[in-house]
Amino acid sequence: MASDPTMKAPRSGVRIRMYRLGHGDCFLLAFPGQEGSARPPVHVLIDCGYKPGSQVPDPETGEDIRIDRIVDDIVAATGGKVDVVIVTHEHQDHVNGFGTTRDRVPIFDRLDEIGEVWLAWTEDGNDSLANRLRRDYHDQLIGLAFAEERLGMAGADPEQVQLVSELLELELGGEEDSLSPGQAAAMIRERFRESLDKNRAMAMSGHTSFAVEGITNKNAIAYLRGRATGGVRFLSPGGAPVALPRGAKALAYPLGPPRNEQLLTDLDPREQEAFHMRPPFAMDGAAQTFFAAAAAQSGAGEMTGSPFATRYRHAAATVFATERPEYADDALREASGAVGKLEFMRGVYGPKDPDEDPTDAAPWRRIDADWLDASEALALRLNDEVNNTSLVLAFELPDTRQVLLFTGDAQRGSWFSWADLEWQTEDGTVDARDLLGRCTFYKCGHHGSHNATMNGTEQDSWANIDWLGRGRFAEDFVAMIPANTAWARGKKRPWDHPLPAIEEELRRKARGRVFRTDVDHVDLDDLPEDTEPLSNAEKNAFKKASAEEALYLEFTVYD
Amino acid sequence: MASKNETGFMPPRRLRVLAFDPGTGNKFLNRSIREVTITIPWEFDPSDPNSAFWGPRGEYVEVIDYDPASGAFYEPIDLNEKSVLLNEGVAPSEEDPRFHQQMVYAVAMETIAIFEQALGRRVLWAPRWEKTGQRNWQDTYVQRLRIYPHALREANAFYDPRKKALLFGYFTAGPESRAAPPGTTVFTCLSHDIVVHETVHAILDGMHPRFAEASTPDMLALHEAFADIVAMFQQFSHPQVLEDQIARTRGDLDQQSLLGELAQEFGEAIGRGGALRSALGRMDGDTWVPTPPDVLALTKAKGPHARGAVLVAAVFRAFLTIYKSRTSDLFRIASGGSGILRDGAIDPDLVKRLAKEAAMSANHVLQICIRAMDYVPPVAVTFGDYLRAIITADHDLFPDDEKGYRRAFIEAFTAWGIRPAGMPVVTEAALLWPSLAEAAADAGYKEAHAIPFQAKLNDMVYWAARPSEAIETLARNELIPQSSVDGLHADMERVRQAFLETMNRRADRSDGEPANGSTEAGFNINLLEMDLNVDRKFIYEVRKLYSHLFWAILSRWPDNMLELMGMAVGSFPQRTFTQSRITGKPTIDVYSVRIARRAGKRGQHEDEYVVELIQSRDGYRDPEVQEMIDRDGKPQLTFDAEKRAYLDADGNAVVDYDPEQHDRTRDGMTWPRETIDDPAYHRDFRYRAGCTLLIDARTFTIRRLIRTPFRADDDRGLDQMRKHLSNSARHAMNAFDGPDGVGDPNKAFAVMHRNIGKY
Repeated sequence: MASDPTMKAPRSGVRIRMYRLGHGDCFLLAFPGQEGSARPPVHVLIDCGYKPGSQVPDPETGEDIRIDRIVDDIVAATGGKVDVVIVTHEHQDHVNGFGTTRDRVPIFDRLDEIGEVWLAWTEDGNDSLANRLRRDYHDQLIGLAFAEERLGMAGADPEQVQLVSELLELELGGEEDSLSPGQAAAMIRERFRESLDKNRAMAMSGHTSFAVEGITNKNAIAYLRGRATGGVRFLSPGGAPVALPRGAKALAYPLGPPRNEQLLTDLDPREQEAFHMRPPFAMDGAAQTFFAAAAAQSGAGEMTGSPFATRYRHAAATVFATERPEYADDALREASGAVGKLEFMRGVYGPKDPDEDPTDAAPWRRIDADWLDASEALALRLNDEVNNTSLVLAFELPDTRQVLLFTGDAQRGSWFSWADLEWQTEDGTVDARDLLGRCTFYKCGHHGSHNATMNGTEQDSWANIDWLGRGRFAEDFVAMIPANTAWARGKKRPWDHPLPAIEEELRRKARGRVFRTDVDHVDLDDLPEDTEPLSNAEKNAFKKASAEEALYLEFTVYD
Repeated sequence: MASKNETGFMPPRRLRVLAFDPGTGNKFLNRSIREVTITIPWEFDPSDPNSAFWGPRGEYVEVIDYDPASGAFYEPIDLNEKSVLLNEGVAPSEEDPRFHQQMVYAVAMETIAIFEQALGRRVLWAPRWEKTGQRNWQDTYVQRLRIYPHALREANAFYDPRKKALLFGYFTAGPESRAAPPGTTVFTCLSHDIVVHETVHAILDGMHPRFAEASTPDMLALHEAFADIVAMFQQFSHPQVLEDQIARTRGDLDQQSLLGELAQEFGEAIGRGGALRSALGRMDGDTWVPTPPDVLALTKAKGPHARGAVLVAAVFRAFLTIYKSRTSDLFRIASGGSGILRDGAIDPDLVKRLAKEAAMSANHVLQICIRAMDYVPPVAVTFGDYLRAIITADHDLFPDDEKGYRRAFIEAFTAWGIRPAGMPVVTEAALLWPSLAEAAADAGYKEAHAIPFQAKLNDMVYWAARPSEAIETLARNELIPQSSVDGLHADMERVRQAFLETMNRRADRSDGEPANGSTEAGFNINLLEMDLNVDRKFIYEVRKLYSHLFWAILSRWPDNMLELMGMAVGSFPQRTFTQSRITGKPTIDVYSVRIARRAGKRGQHEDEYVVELIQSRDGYRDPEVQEMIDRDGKPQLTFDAEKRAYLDADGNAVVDYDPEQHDRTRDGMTWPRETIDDPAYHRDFRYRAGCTLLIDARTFTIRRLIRTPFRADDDRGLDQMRKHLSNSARHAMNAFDGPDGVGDPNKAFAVMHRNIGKY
């Protein structure tokens, strides 16, 4: 049966399609349009990206679902025109679809038209705070790229090298066919060095901005901005609710990213009390010291040396040397006593190459690469901070006033910031607690990770999972988790995505109505303990409202 | 031996260190208390005064000043150099790396000395464990803890359990730094607090290698809090540090807030203690206000730091109570009976006395807290257990609580909501761990039944005193299999070797004649009791011999006796246990047999053996997988090199070997790709249970039986641990890693300490 491939909107409400790209977000929404004789639906695309290698298999053929099929489906479903493209944040698993090319032609060229592009205020080139944050972010990226290189050279723990490379890849982007792992980082290092060679006198920030122009994630967003026929909008939390084009009646309330710098850093509440807060993306002293060393030994940047004066230093090469012609003269050796010291240090620490002298018991006690462990913490912190720049949107449906919550990858800091938000509407003041209380659809943040869905109770002063879907809205709660669990858990160092505790809590709250990218079919009878099963009527309603296809999982919220 | 005097006595080595990290110490206000001098008896870390003492690399620690980020080694100090010997070490100075080496050495040695004093035995580091086969592990003695004072370029310092090393970092103070002028370098190895803290982690790991596993919410918190408690009270036990501060507060001396503020200030200056001591109090404008205790604090506290803070606050409160009761008379005397001092500077004599009392109280609390670490279960410890340990340890040494120390601890801990789970009344008597007789009675044994138990123990007394004979008896009567006999002989041989090494070394020192190895007759003395007088390597080998000997004896014990000790025995209950190849029952690991020697009130020696028994099971995150493997056992895969395939238990090839695909290792083995992600093949955690026995060295009665709340075959314990692991993932350090226990316990400290100081 040749069915109509277009994605229809319900008469009233919204249809939500989660594409099964793998570990990554790609959501297509269809709202009922109000214009034109046919009243075509208003299509909104939120993110399009995935971690290369995380694709899920097509349940029918067993072959991994490639991005091309998904883009083709988006083209077919929308009839070639997407009304709004929303990019939550600049991470590979949210944007690399927009940067993917085939024979140098972007695959999104298959769409005839992109209407509006919505981005978070942090992408706004006219916002001075955003500009400063971006600059600091780029400095850190370059530092991290050099640290990664050092890590690879120093023979560090391969699991750790992998984690840092992957985190870096999230920041830089890249798609399987065009870049091999690690290539994105190598490229920006190369650009940095190239710039350095050309103009030694230029300030570091100049080299940095030249280097980051090569970042694929940036190219992806640039591509979208270039195609937006309806213009680019930058949304700020608390700003007026945004209407969809072509008369669609749903309103989008921006909740994040917070303009409060502290909350972008996402520190533990405990730490907030005990210590002063560090601005996001800014390098503190520790990071500076670290990156300086990483860059220096990679041949980039100035040599920043040891904290001690030369007279106290013995170059490692001298200590590790097995022959010391400079001390050949016995008298000199006696007088200086230096050889004894050098031999002592080498004897205790071990030879240069741990394999060189098999009798030496110490290789396992050496610390050659440990200082580079800091790169992991810095990479994780950077990742958190970028996640917190996610554009968070709550879509409110006009009649029942149900709310759909799309948080991108927003983490704790962002969640904490929502409680204070208020909007003036025709019906009076709407605050975040009220808005989130009407949430019946939740796009689970950051693939279900530990602090991207806040834990808490209804009484707590910060937004959390218990704030969502309260009162009469509690009955209809449904969630979607974009994650590929087998892939995440099978990594050398497994990623806990989604965190079982969070998935279970969502399944309890939704009484089983939770979609996950890598699960072909939602089993309504497989419930966490102490969960009341859905009634038969509820089950049927859910089944009627959902569709489970090879390429996507779909659910319709009726208004 | 030129510098030895006529009697062969070497004066102690005296070394100057910074009492505070330089940020605090460099303040003009603190100029007079910037340094303290640490005294290390020459014999404690003996060296030939005529040759160089580089490093310092001595008996317990070796300082190696390699800075890989800078590609440099730093000039090592020679502690035996005349100018160093005569000047109490190199002068405290941040710019001289030799002072850094001296400082980490002296502070680590002082910490070790405090533990040896409290525990009455030599400090041993955790051995190195290497996997030598699928089920075999080999341990190697590690003589020295390594200390790398400049290993990292970050605001971090940690103990690395794999390397048996302390790694300290340095970094540039940021623009908003409180610890040091912005732009200057901050060295974590110059913080007295941090050096003690990390050394304690290493010592505790040597005592209890399983404590780094996050099996309960309190486990890592206890490690952290204990390290911090020792750091805090070790600083307080230098009276000169307190004198100045006490004098400076003039008439308005509220001693409580003063000490609390100090404790917090010391810890906060470099960030590390800040989080752990956050529960002590806070600054309200210019005045420091102590936090009132909160019985609900623990229910609110999540994660090791928040929970650790509660324990630190409880111990600190106990300390204040003790200090107050010790000084109330002084205040009355000084104030003519009113207890309220008049305005103005207080009498310098009173300052001295108060500082002394504070230092002595600190020392008492420190000793009690350290001794308690012998009285905890070997795994899965909670704060409530630690309270019981404190009370029992102190009670067994000083049966009369004359000064009310135990009351102070009970009051302080209950005020902070720390009490053993399920204990209806918290009194001293209830808190004491049971003796064997009490445990037997509680288990329903009439007194008559307890007697056979004692008879078994009497055998132990006899055998412990004649280890060589014990091995021969076991072998002759075929009480244990030949493989175990061989193992014991090998142990004995290593003991003999270590003994000869000791004797030879001693002989070298006196007359140059090697000692003859006349130990052929075997050792028929109680070797454990030689603890404080011999080489640490010898002690290590003896402890190993005795734990194997103890295991051999224990394997002959009746099941009901083992059950009483909290062991799972009998028919093979769950297949997730490792099955002993010898008894066919679940394996029991005899973890440690060590002596604890304390001087009692009358100066008498109180000798006890501390024996730890542990049983372990594989745990799985998914209860269904757990149930399956408990019932059917783990699917076995063996690699057949000839067929180049993995075979299942029946010898059928399950997966062909493909070097491209099968290069992934986990649990130390290489696995085919098909199975590496299959939860059934890989346990997610180890669930352990067991007991610590405190055995009277003379009578061999079991004085204390310290069991984990659940036995290893009790699924409630397993469920509890699974729940904890699942919850703790909520407080994971980052958004990618799973729960603490599933991660690498070896990395626990590095991650926990990272970047705690926000400057």
